[in-house]
Amino acid sequence: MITTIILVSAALVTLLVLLRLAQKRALAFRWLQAPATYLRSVDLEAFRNLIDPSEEQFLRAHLPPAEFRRIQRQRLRATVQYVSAVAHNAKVLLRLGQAARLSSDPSIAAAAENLVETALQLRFTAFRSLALLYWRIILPGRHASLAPVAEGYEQITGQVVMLGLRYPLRGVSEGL
Amino acid sequence: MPILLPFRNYLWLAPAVLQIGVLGLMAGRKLYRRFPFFTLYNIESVLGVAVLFSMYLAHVSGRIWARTYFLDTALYTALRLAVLYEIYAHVFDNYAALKRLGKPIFRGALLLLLAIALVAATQTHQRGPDFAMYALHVLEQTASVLQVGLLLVLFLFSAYIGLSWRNYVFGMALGLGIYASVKLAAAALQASFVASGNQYINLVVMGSFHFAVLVWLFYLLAPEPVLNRAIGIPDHNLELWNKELQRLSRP
Repeated sequence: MITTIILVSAALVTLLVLLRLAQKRALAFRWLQAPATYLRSVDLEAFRNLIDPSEEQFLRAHLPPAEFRRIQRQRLRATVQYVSAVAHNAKVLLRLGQAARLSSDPSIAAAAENLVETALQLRFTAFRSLALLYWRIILPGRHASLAPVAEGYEQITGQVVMLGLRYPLRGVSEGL
Repeated sequence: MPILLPFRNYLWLAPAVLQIGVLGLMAGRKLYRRFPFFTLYNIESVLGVAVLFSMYLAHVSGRIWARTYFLDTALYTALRLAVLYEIYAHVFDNYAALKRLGKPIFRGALLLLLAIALVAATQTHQRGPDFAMYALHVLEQTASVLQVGLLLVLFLFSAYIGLSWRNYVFGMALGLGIYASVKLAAAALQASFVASGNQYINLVVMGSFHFAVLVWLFYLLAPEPVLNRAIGIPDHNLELWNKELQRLSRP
């Protein structure tokens, strides 16, 4: 009896998830008309400063330990916000790249293909970095470089600009 | 229930007719090369309906009809799993960064779901005298758990990462998902409560398959959401080039 209830509930939940996904897909046309509005602001210089190990060393050397831990937690939370924004923007660019990949112009399709692959890699890098950041918030002390996130974001910005020369990105390159 | 007979016959035959349309569209776009199992699944389904309906009209013996029905069910259940593998392969092979992930995710999810399905199968007990029908419902329940689970994993993974699918692939997966979900609920209910079968539940399952075929047709005909179809850009848009080059040279 319990198994039957679980299976029927699972089937109903799946049906609802599928209908929701179909509804979201139907909105994709609208999304593609203004992709820039879905981007989150990322100040790359501020982000680089935040993840700079020498900044951390400086704070550690000049602040009392309790004050340093407090400040460091705040810095880590701010970094989480930046990395989350990078992951989010990578998702927007991934979708944009996937739409542009269908272009009949081979040069646009090739540029979009590069954008898609970079966006995917950046998204995975951002996920790994987020896991590390949360780990550091819980257990301070373990250091891990977040430079690949900043580098990946810089690389993808360049690719978006290059794609924007040939393809209507509707303000996406300005929004990054 | 004589009043339901014409409705049941419609739900039996109409999807097969629509599937001929699906096959025609797939042939027109040469999609059978990329989706051989989905093509086979549709062909098998149409032939199955043709054979079973002819046997029903000819009033063949119950034993022969039941054997043919079992064979048909086993074939299309296996083909549905093959179609799911095909969809997984198609979604993951489209991305160089994901190519190596497709098979392990499919196998991992399949093993986990198989364990869940087997546990669920051992928890159901025969309620009616017809063991063959009960066994069929348990088999369908097991297959539906696998199908629903595999599709859910794929849909949720894609949504989380941000992968978008071509219309026809999304349509195939959505149609199969809707049908498999209804089939799962129906098989679970029939295996536990009504082993001898229930006309109303069967009608709902047949209706969901009809809906699934309509979903396939809709997504095969729907245009892809491509941005450059919405607006056209001139070949020598100097203002745009200038703006983007300024951005490139920005420190």
